[in-house]
Amino acid sequence: MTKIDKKMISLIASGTIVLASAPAVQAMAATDDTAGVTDQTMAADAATSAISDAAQSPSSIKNIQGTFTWNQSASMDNPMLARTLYQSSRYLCGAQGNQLDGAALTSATTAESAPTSSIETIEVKGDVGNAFTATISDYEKKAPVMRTFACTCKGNPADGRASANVEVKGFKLSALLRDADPADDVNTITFTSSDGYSVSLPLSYVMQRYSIIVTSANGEDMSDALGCSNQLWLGSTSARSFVKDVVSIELTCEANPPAAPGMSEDANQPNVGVVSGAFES
Amino acid sequence: MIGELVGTVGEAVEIKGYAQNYRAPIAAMQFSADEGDTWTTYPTTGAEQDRNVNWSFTFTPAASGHYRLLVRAVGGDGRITPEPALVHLSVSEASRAPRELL
Repeated sequence: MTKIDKKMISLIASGTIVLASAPAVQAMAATDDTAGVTDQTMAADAATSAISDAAQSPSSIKNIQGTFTWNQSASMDNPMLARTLYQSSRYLCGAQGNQLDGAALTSATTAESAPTSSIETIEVKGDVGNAFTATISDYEKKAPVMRTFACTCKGNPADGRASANVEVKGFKLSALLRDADPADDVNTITFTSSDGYSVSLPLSYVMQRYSIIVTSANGEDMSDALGCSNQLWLGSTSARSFVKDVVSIELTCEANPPAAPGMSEDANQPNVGVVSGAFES
Repeated sequence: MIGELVGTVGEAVEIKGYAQNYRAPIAAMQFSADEGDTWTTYPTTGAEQDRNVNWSFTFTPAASGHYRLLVRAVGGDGRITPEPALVHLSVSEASRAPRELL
């Protein structure tokens, strides 16, 4: 037996080295006193490889057991929400970010950097029986909503951070649309921001979802919480927080209505994110 | 992804996160510590679609080693997270008091 073999076996016997793979053991057994230098080298290489594998191979637990709890009520606080979803991800979240042609980018940039002004009314117009100017505070009383919603950036990757529950308050968009009395053939709704940015959606898409004009988040005015006066939020939509600082809503009948906001088939849905972890001590 | 969690055998580790789905409510969370060979399922019955599921999972490693904990969600439509979240854990033997070593 060579010195290398004896040394390796001594290390294994002492528990210093644990061989993880059968081929490595076979390689060790194949070396004997008559083996040449090449065989010794091969054996040493195989053992080294096995040691490396053992150091890198993860331990495993079959059918891991633990304590699991869950809820849907906890909300992300506003400073964290602003950092996670509104600042670092502003060009990936919502309509003002995910249609990045030059004009949209310019508009979105302007909207993000402009000082927040209070928007008290929304103009409702188009193919409607009753075009009017809606006072936001009136609709907050007339059709109030307070609901915990998930706000998820469309660009949130697998195991990303840009998704959180938020307790939002505002009013139901459906109440405002009902008062406008849209024509039967209306199929498109266009939201326009104070900076001129606009996005059009199929009316049916908006009506089939929880659609809210949000005016506060986690009990704080949107202007203080997230730097905008109001914001359209849509349920079950890839970018829930769509248009900010809505000043007008137009209902129209279009020959080619806009496509519904979609979700690519290869998106990591459902998505899971790990946000924290710690041993108990 | 969070950084590697470092602890000792017999010490509980708690991991927290969220699950989110546009298409259907989250129906269950699943955890695996053997590279996905086995998954332990925890239902989230009654979860609503428009909200994230905030989850917490606590377990106690019984042996030292480097573990890779995979986490994924199951939607109410049967769809499973294509790319699970991953947590690295480095677990060492518990340090013994000098008296125990004598």
